[in-house]
Amino acid sequence: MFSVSKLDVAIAGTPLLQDISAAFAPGEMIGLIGHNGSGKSTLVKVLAHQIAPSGGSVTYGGRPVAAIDPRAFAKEVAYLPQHSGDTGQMTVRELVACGRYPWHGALGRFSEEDARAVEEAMARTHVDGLSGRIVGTMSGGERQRVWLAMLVAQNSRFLLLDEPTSALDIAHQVEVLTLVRALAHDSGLGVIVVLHDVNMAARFCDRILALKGGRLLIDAASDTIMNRALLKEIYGVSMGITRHPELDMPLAYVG
Amino acid sequence: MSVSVSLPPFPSRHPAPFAALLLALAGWLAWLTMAPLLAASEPVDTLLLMNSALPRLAVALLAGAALGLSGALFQFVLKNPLASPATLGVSAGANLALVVAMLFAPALMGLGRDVVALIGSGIAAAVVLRLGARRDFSPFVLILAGLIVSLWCGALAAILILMNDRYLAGLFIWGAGSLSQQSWQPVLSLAPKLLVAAVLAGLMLRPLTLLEAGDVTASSLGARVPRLRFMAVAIAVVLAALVTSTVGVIGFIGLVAPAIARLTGARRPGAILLWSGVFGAGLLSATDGLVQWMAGGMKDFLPTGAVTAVIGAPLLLALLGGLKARHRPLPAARPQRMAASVERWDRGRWVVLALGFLLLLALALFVGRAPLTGGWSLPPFPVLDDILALRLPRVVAALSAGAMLAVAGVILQRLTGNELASPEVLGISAGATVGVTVLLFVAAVPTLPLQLLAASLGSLAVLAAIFTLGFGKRFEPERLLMAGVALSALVDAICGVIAVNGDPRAMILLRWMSGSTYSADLPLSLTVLGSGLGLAVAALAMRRWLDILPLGTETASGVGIHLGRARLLLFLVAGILSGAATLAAGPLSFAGLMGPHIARELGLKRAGSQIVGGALAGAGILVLADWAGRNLAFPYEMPAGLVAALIGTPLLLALIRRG
Repeated sequence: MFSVSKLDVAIAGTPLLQDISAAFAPGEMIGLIGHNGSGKSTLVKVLAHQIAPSGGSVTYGGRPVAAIDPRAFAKEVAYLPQHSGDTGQMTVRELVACGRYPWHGALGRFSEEDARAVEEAMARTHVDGLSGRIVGTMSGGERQRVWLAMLVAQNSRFLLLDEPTSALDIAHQVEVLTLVRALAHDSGLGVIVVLHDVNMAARFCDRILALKGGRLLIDAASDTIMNRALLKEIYGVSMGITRHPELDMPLAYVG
Repeated sequence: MSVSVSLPPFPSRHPAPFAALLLALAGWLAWLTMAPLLAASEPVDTLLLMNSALPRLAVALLAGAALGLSGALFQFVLKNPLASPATLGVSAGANLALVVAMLFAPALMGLGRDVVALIGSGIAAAVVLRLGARRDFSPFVLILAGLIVSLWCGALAAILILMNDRYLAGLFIWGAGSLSQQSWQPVLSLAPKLLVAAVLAGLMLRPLTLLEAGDVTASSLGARVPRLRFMAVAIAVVLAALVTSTVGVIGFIGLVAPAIARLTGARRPGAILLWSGVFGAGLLSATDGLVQWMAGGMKDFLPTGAVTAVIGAPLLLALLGGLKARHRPLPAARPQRMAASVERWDRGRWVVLALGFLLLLALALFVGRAPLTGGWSLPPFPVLDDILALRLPRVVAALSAGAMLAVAGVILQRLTGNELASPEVLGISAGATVGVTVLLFVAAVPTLPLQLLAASLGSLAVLAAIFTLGFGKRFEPERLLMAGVALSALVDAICGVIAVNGDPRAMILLRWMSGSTYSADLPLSLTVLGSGLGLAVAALAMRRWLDILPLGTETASGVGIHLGRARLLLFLVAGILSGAATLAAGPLSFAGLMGPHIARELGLKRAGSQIVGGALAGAGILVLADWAGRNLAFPYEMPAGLVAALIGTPLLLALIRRG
């Protein structure tokens, strides 16, 4: 229902993405991996309708994304940019409540349903205890959860997350990804997440898209990605695979 | 993300008590003027109370609230704590449009003053914001463009007033922001318009809240960010234009009221807009009450707008510290356009530059308009001596002033690591103006050496203030600029107050501020030239420091530069250069900003060659401006400083645009 077809993106004549075709469904967690500059962020931005493709199409529910009203689109697809804005002196609850904008609009009443969605989103992301805090004063991990809470409050069918874990320590990475995975599997959201760490991607995602030099290299279930030849192809360095000492899963390492 | 540590983790203060205090003060001051009218039983006193004092209070409250709201909107959508109708050039644009319409197309005024003002402010806002948009709404670029547009509009309005002073004395008082009222009519016309604009602003609250979470987030939540920003800016521009067309330019309220609202605890967009309006109303009515109380019989002639600047400028300087938390992080330093190779200036190009400069000098000295016919002519040899005796001092004065400002500009830019620093922008020229103003009122005979001393002391005082008040600690460009804006506005205001009081010295001051070389005689020119040459040589001697200092303090001290001493010496040289140059060309010319830039564009990147090239360019600009000012509007003369500002400003905006 959310798909791109023969997608090309070029900025000032430099191609960033070429001939990408893929489809995304709710209930699935999809990881975007690739080397720096491979086009991961660009793909997410195109999906989020932040930048327009120079060729090909992005469609949602069969309609071109460009033809959908921005607010209607925001009810369907929520996007967390890699660098979130300066929240000034907003409190947690206030920032999370921003996620309700697509539902009540500029002038509509902030209904009880909106209020409930905000509370639920905060509870879901475990920031309900922080609701009166000023976002700017919080730690990186807390802040990331607050932004996620805003996306959850948006109550959309898809989440687009651009490197949500890049500024987090390992414990917070696991926490955020576990949460996102639960959103996909328990609440049936479609999640598309850009990740740097191939082990995290393999462990938390159902499906992985690997980009290389702006082209789609692999679109496959995540357990098939742990393959020496593939990893070498994706990242351009030789990597080895071993077994997780406790869990039944493969681990990649730089060899 | 720049979030200061001082931010409390939970919201705390509330603005209400502060606002109540301010409004109580305003009320008390209003009572001081109105009480005698109430007590008296003469019908004329009742008339005065009903038709002058009360409407004046109402206008002050309305205009203040509108300016506060306008400033808050600008600050919000531009994410820039320093945005306001005054700093973005919107008020100055409205003022210029009204002056132009009154002089050249009085019929336009039939459309209504509001429309004319709106056109002017709309154009000014469009120019500034377009520039800003090209540079990602960098707060710094916006404020700089606003400052330049403001100064340009002010310069043009000043020229028009100078050339038509018989008609425009009243306009001048109004332009400086007089709240004096004769009836309720302006209040009744202003109030409903403001109400509509305020309600529209209120309707936009929710989408505005989203902007606080960042443009990308806002647009991904379904807000149409460009349209939203456009609408909010449009409302802010309308508010400012309405106020300007009713009471003239009133600076600082739009800048300071939102700052106070935030500092006293207003946090959400709704609260900030509301309390900005309240504080704006309180600030303007309190200032106006103070003006009426102090000025007594002169109250109808002392423009409150000028006084708000006198009060607001120091307040702004004080606030700059507290505003830190709101600063949006500046984009990382722009990558310098790299030259393909290192400087390739050989002797040939220097010779071409020097020849061009000499040619310009010859033009300025020998080509002019014949006295009676007005035709262009080269003077015949018999009278050559006489004509040169008249032209030479002016050309020399223009030349040395331009060169000195440019050298000062090179030093300041390298010292602060800020490409847009210059004596004019940082308010150092304004400091020189204050020095001379004080001298005019203190000394019986303001001799030339005394003037030179006063101007230098004035500029050095500003430099010292900039660097000791902490604005220069890390040379944050916004703070440096704002300090400059505040100081320039202060000087303008002081001169405005003097001018409307009809002091005979005001005309001298006004002419001098506009940068006329008319009064330059040979002793003055040669004094300025001599000091300029000496200081330029000193600057050249310090060129190594100037090459290394922009690399950062660690590097500079790492290679063994005694930072304190080097900076102190450079400040001294830059300060005296600015002071002496301002003496000859006024504070407005922008030669100090343009000279270094032209040199850099020509490929002169090392300090030494930039000093020489910049000096030639700066001198060339002022010589050309002086020549154009003498000849283009013949038999009238336009002051060189203003002409340079008029020519130079578009050039400067183009430079910023290219970035």
